[in-house]
Amino acid sequence: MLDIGFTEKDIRQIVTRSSHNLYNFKNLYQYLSKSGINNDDFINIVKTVPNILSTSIENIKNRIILIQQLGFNKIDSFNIIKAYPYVLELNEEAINNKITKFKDFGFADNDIINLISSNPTLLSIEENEISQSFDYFKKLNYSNTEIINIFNKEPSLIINDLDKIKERINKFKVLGFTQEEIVKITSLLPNIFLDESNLLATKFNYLFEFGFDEENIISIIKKIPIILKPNYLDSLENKLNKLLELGFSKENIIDITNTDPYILLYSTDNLTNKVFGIKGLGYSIEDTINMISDFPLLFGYDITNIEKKIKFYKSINLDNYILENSKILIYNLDYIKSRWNFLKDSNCKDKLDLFITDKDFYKQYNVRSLDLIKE
Amino acid sequence: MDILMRYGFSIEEIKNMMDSNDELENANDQDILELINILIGIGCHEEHIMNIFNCNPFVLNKNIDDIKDLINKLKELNLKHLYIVFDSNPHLLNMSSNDIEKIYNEKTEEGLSSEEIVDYFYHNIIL
Repeated sequence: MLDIGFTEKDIRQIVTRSSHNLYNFKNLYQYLSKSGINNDDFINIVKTVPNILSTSIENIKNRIILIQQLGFNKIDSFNIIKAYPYVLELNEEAINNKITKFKDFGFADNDIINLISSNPTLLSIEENEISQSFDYFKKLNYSNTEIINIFNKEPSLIINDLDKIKERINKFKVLGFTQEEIVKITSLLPNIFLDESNLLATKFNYLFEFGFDEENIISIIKKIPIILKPNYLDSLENKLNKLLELGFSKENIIDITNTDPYILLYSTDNLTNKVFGIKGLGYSIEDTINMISDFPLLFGYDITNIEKKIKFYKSINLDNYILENSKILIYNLDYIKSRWNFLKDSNCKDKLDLFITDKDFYKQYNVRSLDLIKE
Repeated sequence: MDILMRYGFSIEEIKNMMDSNDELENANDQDILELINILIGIGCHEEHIMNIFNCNPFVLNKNIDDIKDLINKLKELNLKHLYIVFDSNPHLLNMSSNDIEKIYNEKTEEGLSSEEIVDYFYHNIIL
């Protein structure tokens, strides 16, 4: 035992707590080490449940088979034993009870397996602790489904310090988010509750220092809450700097991002390629920047999509109008072509009727433009 | 990701999608195929699907039932040729049917008629 790493004090405690019967020590050690349990884990297991030293290897193997029969794979079964050695003392009924209590709260069977595999210490949790966590979130207006989703994504939150969760929620409130908004964001990204580095404040402050106002930052985070994920921090700075480098002014960047926050999620390569892709369709860099500034969704559209639309507008001599109002690039080509075909035949005098609302189109031409589109 | 390559997306396009959406690697090929079939079912051709996925890679992780609910809600509001709506506004696919209901109610409160609200969906950026 000393060779493996037990101290003399450990050995005395084990002997005292066990039935003084260590006959199984060597066999147990050999079996568990072959199964991947290292010395430190073995020491912890034996110190936690010293009575397994007087349990036959057959009984221990049966316990592990039982755990696997519940749906856990071999690796997870041994991880459970490492994290919660008491499971080796539980009978089938006791283990089933521990799993059933999760079902009572609405977790599906697969979810329970995933929950316990990723957080085996959940097996030690008492029912009232799960109730406490559920009740806490319910008081904050999370639905049952949202709570289960949160716990599935971040199982450690079931046994987390509720005061810390409250503190994180308060950080959102201080910035101006409503409870409804907080529920939506944290249901999507429950890891925010575990965030020690306060990414919310870091990103908020970064955008604020760049020039965004508070209301716009809140709006951006509401629309694209995944921007709060850690991996979007460095890239946030890089993207805004890349846009400056490409020729957008700070004011432009703030305006286009307020209109289309998804721009902050596109890679810098994507942003660069889009600018030069549009420029490559025959525009100066200045015109390209103006077009995107007027209609930021151009950063998202497929370049082939943009190219076809520009080609069409050029074919009907509306290429100059694109520069005046690049928002016309929003329209699906089938929609615009069907209107154009109708207007051509109607001797329409104003090509810009292509872009009027369907209500005005109907008033003018007594036809619903959506009915012009062939199925 | 095999399904995206088989559909015709280039490695660069897939990389851009993954750079934007770090959960894309968890997207299930079967679900992506079902999504493609749903979009084809509302009239999308390959060019529209390429545009939608390139612009909004987040839709690839969306729950299929939620997308079906969204489509049903838009149809309920009398929007036709939904492929046009999604091709113009790919990010609309990230919304829930409740979000659409909210937009409809807000626009109604602003004084727009049902017809004008339908118009709104075809002529504006909706995020």
